[in-house]
Amino acid sequence: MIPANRPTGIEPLGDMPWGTHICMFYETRNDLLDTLADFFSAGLRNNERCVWAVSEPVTQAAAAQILRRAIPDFSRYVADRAIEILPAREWYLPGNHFDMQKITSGWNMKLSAALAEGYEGLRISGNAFWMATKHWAEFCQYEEELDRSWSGQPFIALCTYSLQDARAADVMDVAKSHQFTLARRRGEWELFETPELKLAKQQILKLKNELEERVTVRTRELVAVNRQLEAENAERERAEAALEKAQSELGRVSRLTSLGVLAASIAHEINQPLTAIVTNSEASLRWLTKGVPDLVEARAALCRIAQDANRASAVIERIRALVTEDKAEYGYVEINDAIHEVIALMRGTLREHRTVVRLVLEPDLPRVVGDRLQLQQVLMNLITNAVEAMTGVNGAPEIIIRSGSNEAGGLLVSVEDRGRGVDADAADHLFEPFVTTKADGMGMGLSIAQTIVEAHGGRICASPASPNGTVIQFSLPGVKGAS
Amino acid sequence: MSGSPASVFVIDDDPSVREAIGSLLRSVGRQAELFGSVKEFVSRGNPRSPGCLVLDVRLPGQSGLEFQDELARTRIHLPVIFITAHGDIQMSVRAMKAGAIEFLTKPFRDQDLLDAIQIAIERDQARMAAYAVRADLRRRWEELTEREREVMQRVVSGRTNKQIAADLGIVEITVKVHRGQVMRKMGARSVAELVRMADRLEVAQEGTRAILY
Repeated sequence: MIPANRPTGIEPLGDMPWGTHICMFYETRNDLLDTLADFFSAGLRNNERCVWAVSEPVTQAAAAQILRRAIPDFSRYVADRAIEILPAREWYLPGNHFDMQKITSGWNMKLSAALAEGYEGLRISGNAFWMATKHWAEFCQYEEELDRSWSGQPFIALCTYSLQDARAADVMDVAKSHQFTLARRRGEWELFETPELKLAKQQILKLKNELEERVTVRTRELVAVNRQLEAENAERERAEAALEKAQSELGRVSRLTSLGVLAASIAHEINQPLTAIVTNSEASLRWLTKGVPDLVEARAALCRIAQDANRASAVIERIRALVTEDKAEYGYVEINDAIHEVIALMRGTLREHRTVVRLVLEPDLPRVVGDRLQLQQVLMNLITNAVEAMTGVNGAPEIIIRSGSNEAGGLLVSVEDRGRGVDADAADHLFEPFVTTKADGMGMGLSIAQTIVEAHGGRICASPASPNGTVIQFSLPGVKGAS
Repeated sequence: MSGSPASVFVIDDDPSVREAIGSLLRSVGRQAELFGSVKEFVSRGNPRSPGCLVLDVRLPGQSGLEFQDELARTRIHLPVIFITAHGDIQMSVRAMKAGAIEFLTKPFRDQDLLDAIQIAIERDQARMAAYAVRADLRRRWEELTEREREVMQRVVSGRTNKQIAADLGIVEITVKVHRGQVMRKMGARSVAELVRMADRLEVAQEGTRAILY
């Protein structure tokens, strides 16, 4: 698009950029004066230095009078030397001699001075009085040169020609050397364009349209892409929120599931010592109230009461510890002790499924650093799975829990069942959340176990047991220098 | 306690509960034997003296209920008292139908257990006594000669000496001698007593009895 930032004051042209070089053919003197009044008025209002090279049919005095009438603050502009009215003949033909170089540099000096004095540019007009003179050809060359060299400079030039004096050939010459050709006949404007300009304008219009079309298309694409991005973003945020929710739900449900499994165990684990306490206390009463009180038996029964009460309170402690949603508490963990505790806690479940647990625990194992409760959760999940894997399977349900060490000084713990086992396909996905081989399983136990083991820097894997069933083994890094 | 020393066999995998029950039983003068599993008890062998079983329902390995079924199939007729940490109605119904004396939920009142044990042991003693009587009768019956058995069957069926003599084709005096031998060998003081013995032995002759009517 053409940057149009200078008001020309010429109605059909409107705003034009610097470097605009216009020629105007006028019919009457008034046509000329009205145009120039508007032209300079626009220049003065926009902080341009104006230079009017005057020649017949206008005199310097007439020019000043016309401008004073048309421009309200004309005197101030004159005082500020914002406008200069020159006699054209002296400017262009000093000593009746045409020197193109000298005129051009003259304009350039005036421009430099104007810029130095704070004007934005130079607005000039000259009346080509000499169409019939011998310098016409030279003048035409000058105009062409001007048109080329002023492009991009802060110049606006309006050259005026009398229609009455002009021959057809002259009009052609003039039109060729200006960007715009206008004619004013008794107040009516006519506008001619040079073929180059017309072509350029068409080109520009075409380019502009193409550009606008491309911008529109591109904008449309960008809007679509943007909309898509926004949608994707929203979708991602939704997914992330859902994921976060699912993860917290996962942890909670897993804990609840373990607790649910524990509930029966808890009832049993509390009930057993309670039964023993009640029976022992009744027995000790009977020992004491016999004809000859048996203090040895009574004492033994009372000792057992104390032991059972401690056992019951230990159960409660363990349950409380499991229920409390504490953050991980890392410390040294004796895995064999942890295994014994979990077995004790799960005795109810094991009994219910009539599952026998065989412990193959190596003594003096390397200690590991970890969260005891979390590791017990792992064991509990593995044992629960093992128990459930054997329901409805022929043969005595048996779980083998092994502990040992590996070459790296780490710990190995495995839980083996005699269930149906899992095929290789399923084994690959066993630790993924919501993957289950059980009809009513949620598929979270092993996923949680894996999360915990890996958080402890360990690995967990599943393999087939011999002759049947599954072994889930996990490793934990040992602590150097501590055993 | 009166009579032969009865034993209470306690099978519970929880040593605390096991020992508490053991102490309770000893404190009332009961002889108790404690086992951690059905397997342990079975390997001990069939008890000769009267007794009863105190059995945890949910034992690992073999459940108490399954063991009860197995006991019924074998010649071990020990009365069973179930104790359970969390029994349900279905389970107790099944146990009682299968002949359990009592189904107690842990923790139980000592007196409830002792009462159940008392009933169980009395029942076992009665069972053993009845068994002993039957075994004695059977032994005596087996000591009779073929002719004496024929005579006894007819006597308990209400036939007269004359009729028996006719039945067997022997003289009446011989019938009387056989009859005296039967009464002596069987240890019967009256014909009525002999009839009851025959009932227990199930040796009466249906065919001949019908002739009476």
